[in-house]
Amino acid sequence: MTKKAKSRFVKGLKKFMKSQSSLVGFVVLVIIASFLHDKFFTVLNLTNMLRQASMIGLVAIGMTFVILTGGIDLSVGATVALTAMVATLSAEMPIIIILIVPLAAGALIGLLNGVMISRLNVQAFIATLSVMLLARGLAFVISDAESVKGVFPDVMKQGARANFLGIPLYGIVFAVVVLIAMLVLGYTGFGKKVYAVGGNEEAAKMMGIKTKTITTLVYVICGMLSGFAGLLISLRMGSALAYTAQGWELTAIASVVIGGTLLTGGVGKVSGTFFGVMILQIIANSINLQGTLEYWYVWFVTGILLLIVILFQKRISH
Amino acid sequence: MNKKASLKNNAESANRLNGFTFKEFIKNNRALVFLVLFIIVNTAVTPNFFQLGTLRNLLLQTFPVLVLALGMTLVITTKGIDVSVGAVMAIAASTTTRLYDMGMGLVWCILIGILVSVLCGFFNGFMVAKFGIQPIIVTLILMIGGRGLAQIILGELTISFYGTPYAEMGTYKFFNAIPVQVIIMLALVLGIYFIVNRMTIGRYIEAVGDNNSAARLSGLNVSAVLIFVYIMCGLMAGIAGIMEAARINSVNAGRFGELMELDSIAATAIGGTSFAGGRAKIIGSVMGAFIVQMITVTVNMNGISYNYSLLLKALVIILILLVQRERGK
Repeated sequence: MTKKAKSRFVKGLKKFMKSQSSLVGFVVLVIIASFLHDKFFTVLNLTNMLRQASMIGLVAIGMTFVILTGGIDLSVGATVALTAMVATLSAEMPIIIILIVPLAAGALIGLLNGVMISRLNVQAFIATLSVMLLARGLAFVISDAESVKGVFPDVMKQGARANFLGIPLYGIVFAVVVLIAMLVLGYTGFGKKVYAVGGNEEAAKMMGIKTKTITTLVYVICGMLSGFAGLLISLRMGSALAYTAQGWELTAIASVVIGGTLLTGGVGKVSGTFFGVMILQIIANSINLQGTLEYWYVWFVTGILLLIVILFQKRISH
Repeated sequence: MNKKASLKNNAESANRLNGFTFKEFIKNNRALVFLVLFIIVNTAVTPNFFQLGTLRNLLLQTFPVLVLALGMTLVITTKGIDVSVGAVMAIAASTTTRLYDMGMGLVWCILIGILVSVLCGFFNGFMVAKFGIQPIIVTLILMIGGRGLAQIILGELTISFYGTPYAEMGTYKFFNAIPVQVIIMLALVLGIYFIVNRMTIGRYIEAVGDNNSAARLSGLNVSAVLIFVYIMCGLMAGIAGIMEAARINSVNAGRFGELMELDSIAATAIGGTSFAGGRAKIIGSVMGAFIVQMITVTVNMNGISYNYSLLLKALVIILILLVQRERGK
């Protein structure tokens, strides 16, 4: 290999690492985990992981939209808990209503976030924080801090456990949502506007983009996807607890950051978030399979990983 | 007519003590109005509200939120945020408790716990100032990783130390009446108020938050100022953590100080410190902390189910935010 070709190869590799760092991290982790644990690369473990990842994954996809506009949404975990409860309460109704109600409830919470942030000029952090308390509080009040049970139609109960060609239905649903989100962000006017608002809100405004509407919409999307996650959880559990999905906002934000999306907005990809979700899932799974390490090592390792990713991003962007 | 006008003038000049009018005062201290309103409502509604025991409990329970809010106010004044304070509380409390459990002297345990919290603050400040990473990411890393670290330091799920001198420190009362927390709280409020309003570093902090690049261009060592505020925030978290651990006689690292970051950020926001930076409202944050804590107390003392306390807290915070919001512009 000539020197020139070599340098071109290094450059290309660097570019690839830069654009696909989360994919690279994912592959490396899969290899390490497979060597460390015999049980890792078994069908049962992989399908379980995919099913678990699908619920938090939906939330992380919604979070990606919000973070791309430079915002943040702390209310997602509470929204999942509240919508799971709403879904469980409507378990006796026709299937179409069970499907619509949690999504609508999630969208409504998102709308509240969006209106507070875009129309009333409240900081995203503090606005979604108060909505988080509101949604969690409602979940507690509705359930009286007890477990709420609901008997879902058999079709739905089976769907929650069903595999299609060996792949859990939940995983397929997640993959479809990821694909739709990629299409929306990459190939529609709305997607381009989301990036524009996050890149430079003033410039976007001058270009005639209705920045307030876009901002409101991303929170509605985030709320709706959290509602979707709430629906999936309630179907799987057949019951709902006000404590459900505590701390999910952190995991979702961490997934987005590990996926390479900048919290300043304007830069990032849904595919990155997908791998970010899977990376965190593998870490949790490996520590679980290890058996001797307590669960809190998951937090520690996640923190270290976040630190490495951030420093890596900083180095590359210089 | 003339008489009326002159009366009005008189009234206005009377209000214009120290160069500001009563109206301006209210406008700048809405948190105070809310606090007074809250106290009035509580006096009317809550049985036994104005009793020494109740007020002492209120002070004790407000202690961690208030101390955290002091550090948080400095950080938010520089346009930053610190979501790691709850985790740092747990780290400091775990360090002190573990060392104490291993038989080290109490003073050393506390000093090392405080030192660790200062190191946590330094980590945050260093990453923000020297690497230029967004405050929310840096502190998020410490929030997630720090929770795990606290558990690793503690080594067990929970360590209790009921009846030891460490525990007695948390319930100590001066003259059998004034809890030690009240004295610490007063000292810290005065100290931070002094730093912000009477010392040059206070001006620097506000200058960095007001216009970072202008501050840099005028020769200010912005990095040093940023590191200072995050260290202060870490220190406050350390003090809050160790004292709170001493008061409740045990530490469960996974739960200790949980959601404290949110309460302290809410207290700061209610107190009127703008997230746009540039203006620290220490007394506002103090009142904000009391408002946040009083919601819980009101719910508890009126026999309302605990389930409603989150809901009520959310509604009050949203209401206050909506009233406060024009001020940031």
